[in-house]
Amino acid sequence: MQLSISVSDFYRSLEIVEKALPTRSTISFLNNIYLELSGTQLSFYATNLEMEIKTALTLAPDHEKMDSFAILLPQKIIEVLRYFPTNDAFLVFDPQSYRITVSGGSAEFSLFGADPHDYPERKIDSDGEDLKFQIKQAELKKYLKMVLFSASTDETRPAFNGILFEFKGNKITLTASDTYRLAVKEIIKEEWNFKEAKCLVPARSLREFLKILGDDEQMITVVPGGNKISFDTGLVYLSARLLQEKFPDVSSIIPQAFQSRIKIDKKLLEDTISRAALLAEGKNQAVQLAFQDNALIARVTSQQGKMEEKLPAQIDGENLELFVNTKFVLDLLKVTEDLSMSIDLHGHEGPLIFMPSGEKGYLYLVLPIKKVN
Amino acid sequence: MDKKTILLADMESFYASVETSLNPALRGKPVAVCGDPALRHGIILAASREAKAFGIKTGQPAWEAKRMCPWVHFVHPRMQAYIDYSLKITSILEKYSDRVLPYSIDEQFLDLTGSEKLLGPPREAAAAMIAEIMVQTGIRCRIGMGENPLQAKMACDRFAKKNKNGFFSLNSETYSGLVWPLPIEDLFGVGHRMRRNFHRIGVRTIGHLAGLPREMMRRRWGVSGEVLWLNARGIDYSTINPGAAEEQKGVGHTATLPRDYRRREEIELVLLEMTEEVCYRVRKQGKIASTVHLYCRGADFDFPTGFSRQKKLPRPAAAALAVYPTVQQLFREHWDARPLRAVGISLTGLSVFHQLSFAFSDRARREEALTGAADVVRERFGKTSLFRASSLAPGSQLFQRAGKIGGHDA
Repeated sequence: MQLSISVSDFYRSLEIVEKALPTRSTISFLNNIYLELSGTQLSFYATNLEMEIKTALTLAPDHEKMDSFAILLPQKIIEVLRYFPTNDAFLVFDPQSYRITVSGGSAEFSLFGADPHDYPERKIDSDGEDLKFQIKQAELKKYLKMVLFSASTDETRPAFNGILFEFKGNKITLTASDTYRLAVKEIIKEEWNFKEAKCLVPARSLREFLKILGDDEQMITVVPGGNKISFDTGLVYLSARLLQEKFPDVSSIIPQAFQSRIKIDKKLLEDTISRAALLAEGKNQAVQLAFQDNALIARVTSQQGKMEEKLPAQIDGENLELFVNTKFVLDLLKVTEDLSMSIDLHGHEGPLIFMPSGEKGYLYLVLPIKKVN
Repeated sequence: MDKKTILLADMESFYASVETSLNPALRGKPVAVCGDPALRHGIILAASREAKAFGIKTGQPAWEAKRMCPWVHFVHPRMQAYIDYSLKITSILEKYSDRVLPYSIDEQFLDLTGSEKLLGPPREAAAAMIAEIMVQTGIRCRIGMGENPLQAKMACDRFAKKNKNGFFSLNSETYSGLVWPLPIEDLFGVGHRMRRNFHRIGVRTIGHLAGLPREMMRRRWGVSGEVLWLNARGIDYSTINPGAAEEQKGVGHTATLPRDYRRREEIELVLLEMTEEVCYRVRKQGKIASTVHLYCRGADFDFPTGFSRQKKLPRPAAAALAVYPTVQQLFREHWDARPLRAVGISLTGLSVFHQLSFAFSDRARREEALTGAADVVRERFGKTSLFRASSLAPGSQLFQRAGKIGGHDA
């Protein structure tokens, strides 16, 4: 079996499905990429049993008369193609020994593939159609980015490893929390009309998915249903297995009335907190924030030394001093492009609620750090 | 830089001296402080000067001491009394300098630099301290003096203790003449193993070591080798600055079991009780811990087994119920099912900064309140007033340990 390919196209497809490869799987054939030719359609597929990604290339019409075939490509081929000397290459597959030969220019590689026969069934469609919706790629990417950093990576509490998708009428609400902070984004589209439903999507899969998503106006189709959720860009198809854990009800922890409301320049705040983070250390990376007399004063005292910086802020309400994790604040500031930010305060032990002024329907709650003594 | 004047005050047979001070009937008699001779930790913790004359030494089993001197007076340790005496001595020394640094329960450093005009020559000030401590506590104190803590320590251990007046002074000029002829094991920081290592390369006296190239020590034993070389030359760059006293890095607790423990349930019960105690001490400091360390030692002396492993807690905590699962996980991962004679738990990564978390359920808040309430009850009515029912099971050490400090009776 012989194919002539464009190395860059082939490499790009491999790079997309690579994101679904398991990091270390005991099921050895999952460490491979499933490659299948049918007609002029060359499809790539990988899964770690938690998520699966599929993409395809259309070959030149002269491949038409080739027989269909499938083979498992070793992960190594990705690197081989990355360093390949030419952009045109010949791929030769031996259907008996599963050996793959890549040749082009001065280089020739011979790699060991595997029998596709043992590979798990690639059933790619999700069931339910009634929650199916469409959204622009760039838009979905932006919203996911704004909530994803709040999800926990601590696997001892799996419910917090997910992003909660809640559907109701013309609204989808995305929620993520690691119990120290909480991000909520409401997306409203007139054309939507959902029945009430929710599902918990693993954040890890979505983080990989973000790397694939483009910044363009292309629509993407999302189908949540059964025990998985799928995303289809037309070029790439991804599906992730839903988490079965129950995400707690967060409505009770979002306070209704604030004690003070701050308006502050987002860029100034980001720069100041970044500087404070230089000295903030330890697990909590604490910075002290003093909101007083139309100023915000950031202070850090650590074993490295101390810093203080004052920046103008418009304060409506009581003065307040508290400690907060610099990383938690920067996580939001790094992903938002709005020029100004408002922060609601709720006392020493209540959350700080960050609201980028241009972003309707978005809240980011961060709980402060309590200092004893 | 001006020369410093550093003193090290060492209390003679501290525990035994405190006992004699508290019970004058023991004066002039051989006294040995030791745990319960019937139990395994019946070893000599301290021996009075009179007991030492019979050859009784710290660390000896009680039965051996009894054989050397059948009329020795055994007394139970009273740790709280020793701590009180130690603090009292610190406050006496603080009259002479504001830079006093307790180094151990019976040794304290003080910096007398620049106080000559106020107190007279340091030799006289030291004599005054020795006299005052004797009058106020009845304890004989020996003082070594030097230009740095190392010289003070060497002066005290090697000379002042053997001196009638209990005082000796070293300085950079006299150090080589007096210290270099001493055997290598007399150098601060040289233990059994280093002595053997030194003997192997032909170093038998402190002077031999001082004559080696510094580079060679660094190559062979790294920074610690270099420090020994500096010690041999009487050089020490540390200072006595109690303000900069290192922040406590962790809270730990190790105990020798009264017998070999072989059943998993029994060992885990002791681990739970120890977790409870260590957590309590962390809570008392208003802190939370991020890492837990488990230490287990096998029962067989001839084939030492056991392990020492640590693990990060899923989230910083100071409640036993939050810490114990990690302890149990470490234990089950590493225990080889052989009997154990000692176990220890410590918590490190302590911080006064508590990241608050959302109360999605009432449970966390209620558990925290329960822990706080139990602490209050135990503080008021004692450690055995409120305990886990599991502590009634065989193997429990709770009632043994209650009322002890550092493993010895309070």
